[in-house]
Amino acid sequence: MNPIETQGLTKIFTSGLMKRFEVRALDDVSINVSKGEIFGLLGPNGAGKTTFVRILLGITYPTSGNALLFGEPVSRHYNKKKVGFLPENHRYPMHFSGEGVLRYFGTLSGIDRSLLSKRVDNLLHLVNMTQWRKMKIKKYSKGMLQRIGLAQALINDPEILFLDEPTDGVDPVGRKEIRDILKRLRNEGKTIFLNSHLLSEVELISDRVAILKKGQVLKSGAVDEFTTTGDEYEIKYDGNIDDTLLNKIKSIDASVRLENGTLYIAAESKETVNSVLDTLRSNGIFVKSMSQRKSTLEDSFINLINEEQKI
Amino acid sequence: MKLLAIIWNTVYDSIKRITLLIYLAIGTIIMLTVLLGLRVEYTDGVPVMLYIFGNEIPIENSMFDPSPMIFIVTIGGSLVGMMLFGMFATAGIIPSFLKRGTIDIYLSKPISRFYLLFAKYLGGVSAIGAAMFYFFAGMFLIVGFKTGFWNPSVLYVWLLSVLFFAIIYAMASFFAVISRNIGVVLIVVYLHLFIFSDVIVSYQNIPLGFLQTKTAEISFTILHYLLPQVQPMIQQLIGIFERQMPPVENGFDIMPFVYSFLSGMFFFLLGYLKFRNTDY
Repeated sequence: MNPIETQGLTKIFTSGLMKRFEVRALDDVSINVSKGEIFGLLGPNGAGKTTFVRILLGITYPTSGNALLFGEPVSRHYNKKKVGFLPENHRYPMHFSGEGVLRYFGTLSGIDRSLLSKRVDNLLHLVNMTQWRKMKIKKYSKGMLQRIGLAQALINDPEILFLDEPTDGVDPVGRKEIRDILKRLRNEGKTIFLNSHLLSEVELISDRVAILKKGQVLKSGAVDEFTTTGDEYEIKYDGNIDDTLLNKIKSIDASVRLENGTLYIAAESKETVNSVLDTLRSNGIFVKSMSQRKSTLEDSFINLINEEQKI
Repeated sequence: MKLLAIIWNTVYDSIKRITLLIYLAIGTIIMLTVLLGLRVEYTDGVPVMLYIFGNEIPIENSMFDPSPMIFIVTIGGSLVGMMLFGMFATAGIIPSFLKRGTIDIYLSKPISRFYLLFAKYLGGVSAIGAAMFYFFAGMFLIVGFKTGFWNPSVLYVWLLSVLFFAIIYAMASFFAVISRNIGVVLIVVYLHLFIFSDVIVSYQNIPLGFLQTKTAEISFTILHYLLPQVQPMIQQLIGIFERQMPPVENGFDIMPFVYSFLSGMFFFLLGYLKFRNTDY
């Protein structure tokens, strides 16, 4: 049993008189997330990422298909005792202090009062907010609110953590801290479902990802499957590569392009690469460095989205 | 525990709103004014003269109790004030709760949608109940100490006034759930409180032909029972002071409260059904 399972999940929003206008926010989405993994859901704005999470939390109802948490329908609200959620643009009553937010939502999560104080202390320390625990949240910066939001999502020591843009508004140091917290939680066996359009962040911490567009899963799999090493090499050099030399290289069965003083060659065999290097050197070009080019998650994401648009 | 946490948070949030603070401030000024301006003169333990803001009113009958007159003016005014300020202070509770970013967190907690809405509703009613208690109990004590007439009907009126507010607030909750807009809630509730409820009970006196038809009579009768009966409830509340205690034995009619309570329940239930079935 996976902590998160969906089968053929479809959500159609209707609006207008007689519900004439329909928007298919999710279209037959089937995603399973295993225990102890960080799963990243990616997609452009309006792809249906937030709708997907909202359905899993019972905030929005599916039009068809199944959504299960711990093998049970999401409508069983007692399962939410084991779930934490940090929504995008979360708001709390403004009269609260950071500590007050944790105490209030901890109580709503059903935590015993005796346990709550200890947990509040630990979480404030974890998100580095102990110093500002008594300050009213209306005085908090966006980054501080995100930290308190994360602590709020963790207050019930959840088995599944849903995070919607968790590093939004957080500075680079804070982002690193949040990444470290998430990795630690994964190592403790927590399942983390991450919605983000900060692809570099997702790439750094996710085990598996799915790319959603217009409500449909374009591709899903391990992060490595999206960031495979290609046959392209990046060569930095000193010297002048003119058209004659460029054509000479092209004649060695290599695809070549020159961009911003960097030479990119795509070759199927190592011999070809060596031949290109020999040709460069014999023409007085000094090769400063060469590296095999690895596509990033962002490259894969953009390629997938663009391919889809062409279709 | 969860329910209490939401109620307490809602009360705290409401009490800090400027409109409710204005109500409490006005209430305090009225209480201080009564405290300073009211005095009863006794001769041989019998009240002989009542002083209200310097005016002398001879007490010819030793059984004369000035408290109903004082309460009708002050508490009656307070009820109108509470409807204006109290509704203004609490009309935003449910729309704010339903805003994106807030509702998501609440719905992700292990609490049913019914309890969430009910707790928010009770929070609003409790806030107003507490504010009214401050004024009503204060007036009861001040008038009692100053005149020696301890009139407990003011506490009955407090209870019924809270019920009155709870009924109106149930209606407001329904419109808050369907519109998620504080402006719509206030317009609908004020229209009903100050205009529509009057029309329902006195439409026959309005010189318009279509209001004198059988269809109008049936329609207004249905509305009379479907909507909270504002005017009949207020009449009964004021009447409590005049008739003294215990109310029922002295001709107090509880039926407007019963019908209105059922109407409030109906509106709250409708609001809950909408809340339960809505995507947020």
